[in-house]
Amino acid sequence: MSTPPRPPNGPRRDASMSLLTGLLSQTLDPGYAEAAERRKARGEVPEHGHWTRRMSPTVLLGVAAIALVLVIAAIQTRREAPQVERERKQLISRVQDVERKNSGDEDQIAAVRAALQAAQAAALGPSTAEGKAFAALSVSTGAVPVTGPGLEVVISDAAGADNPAGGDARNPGGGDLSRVQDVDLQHAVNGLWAAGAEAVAVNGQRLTALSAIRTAGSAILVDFRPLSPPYTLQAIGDPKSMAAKFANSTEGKYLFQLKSQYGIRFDTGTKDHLALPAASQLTVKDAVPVP
Amino acid sequence: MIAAIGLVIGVIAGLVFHPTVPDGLAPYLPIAVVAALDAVFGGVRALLDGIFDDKVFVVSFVANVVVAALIVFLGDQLGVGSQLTTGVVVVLGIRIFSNAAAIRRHIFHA
Repeated sequence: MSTPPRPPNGPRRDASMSLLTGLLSQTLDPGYAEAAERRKARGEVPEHGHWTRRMSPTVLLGVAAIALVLVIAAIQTRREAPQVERERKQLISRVQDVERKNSGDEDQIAAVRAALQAAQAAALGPSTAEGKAFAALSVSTGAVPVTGPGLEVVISDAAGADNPAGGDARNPGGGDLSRVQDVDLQHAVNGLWAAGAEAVAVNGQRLTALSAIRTAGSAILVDFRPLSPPYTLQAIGDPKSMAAKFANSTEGKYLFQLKSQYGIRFDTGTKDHLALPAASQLTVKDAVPVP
Repeated sequence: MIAAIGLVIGVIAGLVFHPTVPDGLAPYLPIAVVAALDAVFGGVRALLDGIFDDKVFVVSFVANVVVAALIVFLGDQLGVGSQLTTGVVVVLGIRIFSNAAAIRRHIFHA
């Protein structure tokens, strides 16, 4: 690094910059140069060839201290690294344990619920009026897995879904217009119900009368479980009439408008066989049946 | 020769006594390491320049470690410990690099 020429008189103009200059140019401790000056002033010969003779117990002490510091640091680092790794592994295994337990519990819930359904159906008898009503209610409340023909609607984000966009009527808080929003899914699901669907599921989440479809952050939650696009809506019902009614409904037109205006990809198709799982939550907190 | 003996003594002392750093001093260990490296490179460069001085070497090492730790301690008390640690590491790092470059020029003349 070259220093600008010193002005002929007075201090340097850029004196305030001398800190950086000094930092970069005076890297050697000035003490060495001063000590050499002092030695020269005392008339000692600079010992170039025999530098080993300049070594003294002080150097021994200093080098020993430096080596000690480095060794301590090395030992400390080596001792701490496995500990951190161990803690991380413990955390991961705890999370995995809990997840395993969770899914085990869910399986158990499903099994118990299936047994309960079977017991209830058996107790009521399949041919009685109560039994038929119970079976129909089980289907429409989402308590049992169902299967049958129906309509499948696949909605997914527009192709260039990462462009940031400003505010919009659909989403006053701003956000990406080319993404599917919770409102869009709500409209689509409502349209399917209105078209005569008997059971609806979004990405394998069975919807009940109490299901919520809402946004949290950038993810759409259905019954508090985050979903990722593409969103597959499966509705069981008469495929032909449902498709026609859905396409002519306000909600169907809404989806077509999304397609033409924002490029949201949307596709419907009739299926001969759809299988929807039971709803994961059927808990009612406050309502009790009339005795 | 005597430096090599000192090195061996230091390493053996560290390995034999296994000194544990108290938790209060643990944050200053990295700073001490950087200051120690600075002293080593400065000393070697002074040696090659022919102006090595044992007293300056030891005093500069001890003073660097103490002052660096003090700055970081002060920063911790003021809530800017990490920033001051960065500052100390940057300054000492620049010195280490420059001294290493000077040593390289001395040895390889390149």
